[in-house]
Amino acid sequence: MLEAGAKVPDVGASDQDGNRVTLRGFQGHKLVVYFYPKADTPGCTAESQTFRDLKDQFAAADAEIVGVSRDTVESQKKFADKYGLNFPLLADTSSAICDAFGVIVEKNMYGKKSIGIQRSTFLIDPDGTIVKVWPRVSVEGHGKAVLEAVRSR
Amino acid sequence: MDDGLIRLAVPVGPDDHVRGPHDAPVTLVEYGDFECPYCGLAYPVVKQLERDYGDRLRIVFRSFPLEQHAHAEAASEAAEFAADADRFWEMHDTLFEHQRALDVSNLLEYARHLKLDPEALAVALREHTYAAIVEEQKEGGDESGIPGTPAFFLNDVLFEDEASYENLSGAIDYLLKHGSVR
Repeated sequence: MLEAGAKVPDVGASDQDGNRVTLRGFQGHKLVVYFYPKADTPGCTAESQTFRDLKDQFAAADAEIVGVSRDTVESQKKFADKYGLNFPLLADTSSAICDAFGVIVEKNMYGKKSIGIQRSTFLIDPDGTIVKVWPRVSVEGHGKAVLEAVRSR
Repeated sequence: MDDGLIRLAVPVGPDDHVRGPHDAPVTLVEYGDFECPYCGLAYPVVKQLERDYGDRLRIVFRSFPLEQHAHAEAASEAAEFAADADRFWEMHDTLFEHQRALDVSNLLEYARHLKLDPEALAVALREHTYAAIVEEQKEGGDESGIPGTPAFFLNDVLFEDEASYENLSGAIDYLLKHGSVR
């Protein structure tokens, strides 16, 4: 997994509306990139909604938010529409972004091997340097913790 | 080496709400929210697993009330109140069976129904007597890094599939046969 000090990789993918988004395209602004295993998992997860609710505060601190998973554009679109998510959700179907950040984990459970994404968040400075990494994210309070880190930059 | 699995940070201990034998080969720990609809869906699944696996399965419930659920915190505190009178599981069942009626007046009614003192519960809820216990359980879930509710751990490893009967019983069968997640 990429660590603080690394440059943001030159990668991108289509968002939920089919627009090509590259992470280096955000240079000049702070950027929060959060990886999640799957769009709309069956359960109560607050992470994406938290980023949605705090988006204005992130914007006031000159920070953009981007979510990434390996879901398709269609799944991301459905997810965004269902929860009113008002920032790009990248459909990293080729796994280029996930691979570049090193958030892919191979799991061996109950006789089945599977590949998944470790829920993790990266804060990137306006010059394109990763300045903070949350390698394992829990459900609550995460959005606020990231916002605090953004404000302290 | 990081195998990508999420593990239970706080081991099952004497303060936990437990059903089933302590030496059962499989332990299911749930982090749940009494107002979470997905936890409500999982509730009969867990009941069925208990019936089907009997002494081979131990069940543990820890509260993880989410901020987005206005009644979840009070419901968890009411369950802890009931636990003091050894009625935790009765209250747990009642709450999941009445997920859409978790106002304070409802909670007092459930206490009355379980022959607990509703006046004492009203005071406990007002003074948040049990908030610290609930908070401690929640912090344990945060420490583990659970992605949401419900979160099920089977023998200390987070179960990451949808919590259907088929999926959970498949995993339990595997653990009974092989003794570990791999």
